[in-house]
Amino acid sequence: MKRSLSFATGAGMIGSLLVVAVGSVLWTPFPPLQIDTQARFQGPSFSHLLGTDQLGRDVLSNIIAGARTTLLAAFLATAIALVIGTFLGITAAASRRWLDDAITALATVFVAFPALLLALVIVAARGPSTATVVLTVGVAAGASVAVVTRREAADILHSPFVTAARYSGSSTWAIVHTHVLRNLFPSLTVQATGAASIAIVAESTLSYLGLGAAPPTPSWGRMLASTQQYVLVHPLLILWPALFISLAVVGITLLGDGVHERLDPTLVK
Amino acid sequence: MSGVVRRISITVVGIASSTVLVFVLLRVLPGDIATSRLGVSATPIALEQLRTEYGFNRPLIVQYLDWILDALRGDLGRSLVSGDEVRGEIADRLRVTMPLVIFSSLIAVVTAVAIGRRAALRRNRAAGIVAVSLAQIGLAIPTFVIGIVLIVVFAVQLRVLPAGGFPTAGWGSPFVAGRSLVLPVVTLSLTQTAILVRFARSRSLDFVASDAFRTARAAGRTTDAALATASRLVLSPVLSVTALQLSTLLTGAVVVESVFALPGLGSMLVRDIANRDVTKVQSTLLVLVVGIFVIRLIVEFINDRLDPRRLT
Repeated sequence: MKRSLSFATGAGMIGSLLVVAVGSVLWTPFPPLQIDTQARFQGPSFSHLLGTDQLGRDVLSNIIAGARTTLLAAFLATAIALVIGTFLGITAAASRRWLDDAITALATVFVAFPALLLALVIVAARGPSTATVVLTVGVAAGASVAVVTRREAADILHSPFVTAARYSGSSTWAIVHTHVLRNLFPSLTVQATGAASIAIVAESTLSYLGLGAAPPTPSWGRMLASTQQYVLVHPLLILWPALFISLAVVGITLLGDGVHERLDPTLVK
Repeated sequence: MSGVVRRISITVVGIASSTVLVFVLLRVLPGDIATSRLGVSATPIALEQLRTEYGFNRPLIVQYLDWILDALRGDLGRSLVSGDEVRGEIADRLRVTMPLVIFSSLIAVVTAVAIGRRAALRRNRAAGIVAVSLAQIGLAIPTFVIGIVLIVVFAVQLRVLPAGGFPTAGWGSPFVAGRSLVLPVVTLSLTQTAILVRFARSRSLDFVASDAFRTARAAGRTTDAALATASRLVLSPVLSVTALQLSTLLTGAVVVESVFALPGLGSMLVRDIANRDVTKVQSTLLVLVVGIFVIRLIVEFINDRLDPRRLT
């Protein structure tokens, strides 16, 4: 199999972010919330590799702890999207016309509404929290997963090997389990990376706007917002979280492209 | 003619269903608005007073119809937090948001068509591949990160443009106002361009592969002249995508206005959301929804003129 550059780069970037995020539960260079008023606005040094912020907190430790918030939110939102999307998509493809139409219509309404705008409305109604972001993005991304899955599941259900399985006595559940889900796997992987990148952008944007993660939780979006007033004097402070948000989104996008290239040999460059 | 009637009715149905969605999400899901506004420790009398004042104690369907009928008469209701009329502030803030959104879209459409065309012609050469990869990256990086990077480069390092804010005199001092919109417009149009380039490129590729293009080349036209003939065919799908992406554009405007501290509709929306000002958020979204659908309708009509084959 041809090695894919996007796959390797994307997997490397996301892999190292994941290791760092999981490792942050056990160890960060400094406690992320530890304030040291003697050491405010320090540039990068050996003790503080990325320097310190306006309260003397270690920037690297906050970036590492922020990775946890963002990646956990992205992971949960993606899981919700996949569960909702796969269930609705296969149900629509496998059931009668009216149910199929009803599910498709519902999903289309949500697809037309950008996830971030939907999250803004829900936050207005229920107040800011990461859980709101995760649920909203999960549902919104789930809708687009459902639309794609319905189309592909319908193709699979109409293929000769499914007809053969049906004539040889397989139950609907067995067909869905052994044929549909397995053949959907490539497409679902690509969908998952799409949902994850929407979730990362939505989580960090809402936190930046002050409508996401609540104050003590370290978050990349809030680091940006709180250091923006010092941008004229200490521009580095704001660039670190901006860099890591971009790395996470670009990484997941490359990973998605890479998976797509690997699993779809017919893809024309 | 029936096409016109059909499109207008689709627009009306679209606006009606979106307002129902906004109303359900904001007013039915969250439970009691009076309690969430005044807190759980509020006295029953105070709660009742607020409910009567804003009519929250009436049936939901009556509240919904009242909201829509008032809006049709130009009355957008009052803020739940300040009690002020919503309409005046929305009109004020549109003076910042409208130029921001309009200029960004124009720039994005023009740049996307130009880049898409180049990329299609040089698809196997470095320039084409670079253009497409840049569009991919532009798509991946969140709007507010692009804005902040631009601030660091142009406001902090080069010191040529302001890092944010808007003159208190507004458009009364047009030069200062225009200057403070440059970076926001660039930020917003970069994201939009990244979305549009792919469509412009694939449409140009279709045309380059077509008989019409081959004939034009055979008749002695240069590649550029031949492509120029097709520009309305490339523009038409780009406009359609722009119209479909309008809500994304407005979400982008919300973010950009917050990044650059502009007194527009988006930054107002963020503040109202943080304050849980449900009535004001509801009416602001109504204005945005109507705007989105009306612009989509206009784009449909423009596209019919650009590509008359759509009508048959």
